[in-house]
Amino acid sequence: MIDEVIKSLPYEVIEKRKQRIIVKVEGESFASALNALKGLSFNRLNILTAVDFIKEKEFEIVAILHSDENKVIAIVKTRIPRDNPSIETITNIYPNAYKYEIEMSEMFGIKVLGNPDSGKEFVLEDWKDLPPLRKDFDSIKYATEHYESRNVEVKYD
Amino acid sequence: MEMQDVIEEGYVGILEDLRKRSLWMLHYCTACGAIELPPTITSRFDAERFGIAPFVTSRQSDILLVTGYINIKTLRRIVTVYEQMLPPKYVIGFGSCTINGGIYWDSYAVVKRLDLYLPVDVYIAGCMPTPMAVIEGFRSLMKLIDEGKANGWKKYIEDNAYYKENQRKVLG
Repeated sequence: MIDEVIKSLPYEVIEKRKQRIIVKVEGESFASALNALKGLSFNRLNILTAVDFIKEKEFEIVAILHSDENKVIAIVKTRIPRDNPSIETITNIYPNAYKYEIEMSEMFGIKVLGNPDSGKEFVLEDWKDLPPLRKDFDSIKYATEHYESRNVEVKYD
Repeated sequence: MEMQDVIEEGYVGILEDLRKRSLWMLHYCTACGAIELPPTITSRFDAERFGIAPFVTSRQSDILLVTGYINIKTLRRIVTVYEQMLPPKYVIGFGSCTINGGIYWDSYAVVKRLDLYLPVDVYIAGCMPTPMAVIEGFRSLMKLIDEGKANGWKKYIEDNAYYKENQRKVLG
């Protein structure tokens, strides 16, 4: 089954195992790759998330798809530039991507075009700093500035 | 009048004694700490032999048990729930996350100290506290009620400005 998928996909397959393929696509063809994979019995979106590659100045968008029929996982990866990141919505292909996209836009600052709730507040309330899952966000500094800690000397006998 | 005072004093004493033996607990389970509560309140450790039972509404509860880490979103709800409760009411901070942040001390989301925002009567230290430690915390709260020292709810009324200022600092 995996060989059939690889044959009919016009994208680069960077890894192939018994029950898993990893597909790497360009940023513009992310949605069309998912659409093609949905036609090849990958009916379920397990997760849609982003990874921050700060040295390469890129975000990697990762979608993990699952095929109930063939019990195969397909991981679709794409890289987008880190400044002014934006991506097309995939809710027309997988409707459950809706919340993942809102979370991604809040945690990484990636704008999702076509999702009406992208950029709105989801988990964080009144957040005014950098998006917290970016690598250049200093979590310890933010925590010490905003939340008071208990200054206790610990004594060991 | 003297007789009246004696009766009133005795009445209050009896009330306190009854109160400490019938504490209903609102367990606000924000995090992993909730997993220690089922063995505490079911047959193995059986907290009900001390008169402590879990309850579902804030209006009828006496104890607010905050288990685990608190972030901005939950703190707002905890404050609302605490203000809905009727006095006398007691707060128990459960686990090291409520004391100093625990393992989430460097997190951007976790509020480190509960006692800045609500008057905490008893802290139960540990990550996680065992059911025995939880019951020990309940017993020390009962002891404090017996001695008349569990006055957190009075403190919340008297120092309301202090608590409200701290809450405003993080909640905005």
